[in-house]
Amino acid sequence: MPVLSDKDKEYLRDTFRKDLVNDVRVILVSRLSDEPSAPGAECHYCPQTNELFQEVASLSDKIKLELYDAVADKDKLQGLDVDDLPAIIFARDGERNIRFYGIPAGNEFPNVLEALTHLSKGENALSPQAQEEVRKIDRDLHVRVFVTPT
Amino acid sequence: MAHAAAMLNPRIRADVVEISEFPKMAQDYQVMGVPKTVISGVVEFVGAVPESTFVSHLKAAVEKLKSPSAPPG
Repeated sequence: MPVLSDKDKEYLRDTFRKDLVNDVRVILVSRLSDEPSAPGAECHYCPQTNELFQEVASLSDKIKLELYDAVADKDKLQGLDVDDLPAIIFARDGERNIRFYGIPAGNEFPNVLEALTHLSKGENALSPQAQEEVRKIDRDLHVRVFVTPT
Repeated sequence: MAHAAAMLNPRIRADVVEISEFPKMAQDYQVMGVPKTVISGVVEFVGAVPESTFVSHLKAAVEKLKSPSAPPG
């Protein structure tokens, strides 16, 4: 069953046509099969997340979606350091430091679209002054932002 | 803002986490209200903040991590 309505798909297709400039690589790590996984590795939202992002990727040839199964593709995912499933990683220039964990439902979906657009256009939501300060940070930082769908 | 920062600096990793799907993480990080931001385990705040405050928090985290007693990032 599709996740996005036909109306949503039409809106997104138009938006992507207008807003996306460069390709954006989206790595989705989840569970792709129904095979039993290790205890604690269940992923109740994986099927819906997989479907959502396949639908989104189908709306623009600039969105390059790569699907990986956390168990079957374990060797390919070495070094990716995925904390949980599903993991949605926006990759560019070899960097993979922009991530969503969990299905981005409700209010979070626009944030996914915003991240896609900014990456594709090379834009940034921070002011020039803030950008300058952030670029100067010379230590590894891990920023986790906990949200809920509503 | 976290993702915007990560787009500029590869040393910043930004995760947005739908906490309702990860109850154990909610417990580990004591998430009572959202949004809650935790930076490398040394700085945390609840709620949306102005851009300048967010940048200050990033810089505060850097300073705290420089301390010999700071936990690993």
